[in-house]
Amino acid sequence: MEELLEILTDIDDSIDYTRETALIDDHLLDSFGVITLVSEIEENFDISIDAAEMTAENFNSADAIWEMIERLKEEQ
Amino acid sequence: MAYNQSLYLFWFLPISLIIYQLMPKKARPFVLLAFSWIFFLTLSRPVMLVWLLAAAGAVYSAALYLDRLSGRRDEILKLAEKSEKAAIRKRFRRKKLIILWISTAFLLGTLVFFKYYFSYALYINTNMGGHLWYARLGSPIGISFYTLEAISYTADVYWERQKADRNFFRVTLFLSFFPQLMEGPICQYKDTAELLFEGSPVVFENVKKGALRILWGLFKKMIIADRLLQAVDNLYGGYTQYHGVMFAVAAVIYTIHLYMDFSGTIDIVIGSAEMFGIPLKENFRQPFFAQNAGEFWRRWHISLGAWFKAYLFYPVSVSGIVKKWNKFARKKIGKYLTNLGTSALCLLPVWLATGIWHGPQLNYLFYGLYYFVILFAEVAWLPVKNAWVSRFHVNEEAWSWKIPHMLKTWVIIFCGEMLFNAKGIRAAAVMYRSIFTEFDGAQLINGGLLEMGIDTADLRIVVIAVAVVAVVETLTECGKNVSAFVLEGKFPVRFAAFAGLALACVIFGAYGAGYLHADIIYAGF
Repeated sequence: MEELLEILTDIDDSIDYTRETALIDDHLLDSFGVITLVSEIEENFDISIDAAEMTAENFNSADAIWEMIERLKEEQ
Repeated sequence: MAYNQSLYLFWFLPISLIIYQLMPKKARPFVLLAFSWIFFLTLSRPVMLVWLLAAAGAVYSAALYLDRLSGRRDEILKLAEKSEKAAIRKRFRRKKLIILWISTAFLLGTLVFFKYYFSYALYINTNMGGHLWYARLGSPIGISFYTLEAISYTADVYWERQKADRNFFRVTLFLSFFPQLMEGPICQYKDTAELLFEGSPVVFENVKKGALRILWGLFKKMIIADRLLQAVDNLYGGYTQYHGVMFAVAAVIYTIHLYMDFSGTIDIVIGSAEMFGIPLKENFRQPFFAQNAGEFWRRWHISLGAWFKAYLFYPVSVSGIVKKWNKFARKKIGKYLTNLGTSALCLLPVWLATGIWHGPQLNYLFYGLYYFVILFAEVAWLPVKNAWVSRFHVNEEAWSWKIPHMLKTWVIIFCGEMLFNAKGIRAAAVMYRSIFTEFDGAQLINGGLLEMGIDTADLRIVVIAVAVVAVVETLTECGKNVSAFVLEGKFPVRFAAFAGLALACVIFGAYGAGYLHADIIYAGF
C-alpha cells in the first residue's frame, strides 16, 4: 500500500489519496494520469492490467486500486 | 420524420405516449418497440430494418455465448490446481476475444459498407476509371449510433461488466429506441435497457419536464440554427464570393449554427425520452466554458467522447504496443518523453476514428487530425502550465484566468468547425488563408454582414436568442438548475416559460416562406 501511495503521489501530489474516493468520477486523475499509473503499477507489482480492469470502480480510490492489485497478484 | 417536425411533435410523440399508457405494463415495451420501428421505417427503406435486426441478433447471440464461456471458465477454475489457473484464464480469454472480434467485425463491416464503400466506389469510378459496383442504396437510419451502442454492449459483456441479456426484444429496443435513433446520445446498456423494458406508467411530472426540454430545444433550433442556415450555405457552398474576415465570421456562424442545431435536437430527444420516464445522459455541458480542447471534448458530444474513451482509448492504452513502449522508453528517455509517446499512441487512433466516424469526406479525417495535434500539444504543454501556475500562485478558479483560456479555446473550436464544414480540403485552405491575406475588416461595419443571405432583422433575432441561451447556460454552469426553477416555480413563472418559449418559436422560428427547409444535422452522420 505504501508503494502504491508513493506512485500516486509521484503522479499528482496535490491529491489526498487517503481521503479521495472519486479520483476518476471527479476527474482528479485524468486519462493520462491513469495510463501512467497503470504502467507504474505493472512495473512495481509485476502484474498485467488489461482492458477489463479499466473501470472507474477499480481506480476511484487508493483502496480500490490496492484491491485490484491484490486480486491480480492472486490470479497471475 | 424528424424530431423538429410537427408530424413528430404533435402526432407521433403524443400518440405513442397515449397508446403506451393505455396498454398493460407487460405490453408497453413492445409499444415502444413498435413505434421505434415505425419511426425507423419513415426514414429508411423496409429492407434496412433487416440490418438493424441483424445487428441486434449478432450482439444478442455473441453476448450469450460470451457469458456461457465465462461461466464454463469459472466452473473449470473451481476444480483446477493453482498452477493451472493462469493458463485456463488465458485460454478462455482468447476464445472470448475471438467471439468479440467476429461480432465487432460484422458490425463495423456493415457500418463501413453503408457509410464509406459507396463514396469510395464513386470516387474510384469517376476519377480513376474504375468499375466498382455502385448503387444508391441508402442506409439504415442511425447506423452510426446504434453500431457503437451494439459494440459497447458486447464489449461490456466480454469484460464481464454486464450480464448478457436473454431478452432479444430488450436488446433490440436498446438499439432502436426512437428518440435516440437519429442522433444518439450513445448510451450504455446498463443505463437504459432495463428502464426501457420496465413499462413504467407515464407520469405527468415527466411529461411537463420533457415538454419544457423539448421547447428549449425547439427555441435553439428553430430560432437560431434554422435562421443561420442560409448564411451557412452561402458562406460555405458559395465561398468563392467571399473574402477575408467574412471567413472568420463563417467559422463563428457555423459553430453557433451547429451547436444550436445539434444540442437543440438533443434537447428534443432527451425531452421525448423524459416523457416516458427514461432519463438519458447529457450530451452537452456548456461546451463554450471549456478552457482547453481536452475539456471541450468532455463537454461537447459527450456520449461520443465517452464511447471512444471507454472502448478505444483505454483498451489501446493497455495494449501490447503501448506497454512495450512504456517499458522500453521509461528507462531510456525519461518520464516526460515516454508519456508524450504514450499519449500520441493512444490519441491517434481515437482521433482518426472520431474524424472518420463523421463520414468519408476528407475534411472529417483532417478534423480528427486537427484535434489530435491540439490535444497532443496540450499534453506536451501541461508541465509548462503547471510550473507557471505554481510559480505565480495562479488561482485557476479566477475568471481572470478562465476567460482568456475560454477565448483561446473558442478560436480552436471555430477553426475546427470551419474545417469540419468546408466543402473539401482545398476550400478550407482557401478560406483560412483568405482571412489573413485579404482581411478587409471593414466588411464587419460596411454591410458585409448583410451579404451572407440574411437581413438585419434576422441578425438581431439571432443575437438576442443567442444571448438568451448564453444566460441560461451561464446560470447552469454556475450550478443553478434552471429547469427545476421553472417547473417548481409558481404558476406565472411556469406559464411565462412555457408560453414564452412556444410563442417565440411560432413567431421567431425560421420556417415557412423565405426560409430553407432545415434538416437535423447529426442525423446525416
